[in-house]
Amino acid sequence: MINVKEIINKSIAVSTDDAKKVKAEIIKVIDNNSDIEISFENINMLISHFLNVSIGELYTEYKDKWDILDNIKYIGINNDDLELLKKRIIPSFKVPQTDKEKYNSIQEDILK
Amino acid sequence: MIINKINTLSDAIHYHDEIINCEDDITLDFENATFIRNNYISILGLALEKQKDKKIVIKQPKNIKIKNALKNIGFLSLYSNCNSGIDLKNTMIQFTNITEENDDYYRFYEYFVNQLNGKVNNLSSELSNKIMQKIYEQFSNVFRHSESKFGFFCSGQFYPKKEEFYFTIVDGGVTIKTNVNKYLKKITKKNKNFLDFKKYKELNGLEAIKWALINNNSTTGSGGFGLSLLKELILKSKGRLEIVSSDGYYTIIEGKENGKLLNKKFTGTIISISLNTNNDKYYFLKGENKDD
Repeated sequence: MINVKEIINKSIAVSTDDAKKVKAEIIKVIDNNSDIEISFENINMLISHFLNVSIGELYTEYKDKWDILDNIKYIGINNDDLELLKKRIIPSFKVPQTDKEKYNSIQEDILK
Repeated sequence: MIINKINTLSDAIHYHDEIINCEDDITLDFENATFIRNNYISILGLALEKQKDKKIVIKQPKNIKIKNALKNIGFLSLYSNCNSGIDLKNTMIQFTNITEENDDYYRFYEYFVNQLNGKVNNLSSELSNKIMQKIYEQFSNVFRHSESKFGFFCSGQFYPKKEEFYFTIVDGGVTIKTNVNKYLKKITKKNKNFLDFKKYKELNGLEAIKWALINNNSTTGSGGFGLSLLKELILKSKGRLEIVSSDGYYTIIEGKENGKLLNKKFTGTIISISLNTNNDKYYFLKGENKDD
């Protein structure tokens, strides 16, 4: 299981660097085609930018692994954040856009 | 530059503009200051950061109470040889420049939540955390490399007798007006058809802020509430909210929404909040068990 809190050693998930650390851990296991579990237990706050970099970008970089990525089990994430990830972030990365366009569009939506 | 009083957001913006327009070394003369609202110090801090290549001198206030407050909030020691004070009453939100560097955004979050939870006992921790999340989201360009030169700035103060908690966050980045117009323009373009094609008309700063404060779940479901949550809390708790972004100036004061267009645009966004800390009422998120 990928434990976000243990990887970033913080209770909030916001920065690019921390998001890249989580992304790197996912990449390590993605080739094993195993069932991936990501735990957000003890993360008190996360923002869309973190999800864009740690998870969203994988959909652009691993187009042949969408079935594995779609199958990731997310644990300890609140409903709002899970919905943001599944309904906004992941679908945006599945359509061809520049990263900047995706990030802007997601952030603009959730600030409404 | 003589600064005798900073009581309103307009005062703070006025001095911000004066500082950023200085072409020579900068002297902020607080010697005869009679009142400084410390949460607005963050706005001066942004201006000074923009001018950090210049020599900055601060003349300290003669009024010992004001001097101590500026010391205790951590402002004077940054720009003068004055030692930083010790906030013995623990009523300040330290003047802080938050960038992505050195994890200072994280230390600030921990510090701010501690300060908030220690002083504002009428909000559930879930609600205060959600508000912090939306504020971090608003200023999240700081967390994207090279999209924010200055980071964002925060300062605040708790007034125990008045039962009020003030804090002001400011950045010099992309404005709400720019973000909202870019988004709406894109949506308009996407939805245009031959029968009903209208050229997108840009919202002004005030309209853009108001748009950003409307709860709209259509694209993100329940995760969509953003600044609207803050607005709802302020209206229900009789707090105070001021938002400035570009030429927009929006307020909620005593439960009434107001706004105007500024003659001079502010190049960034200011969110200034006053929470009523009176414990007669307790605020929590819908669906949250308040007994938890």
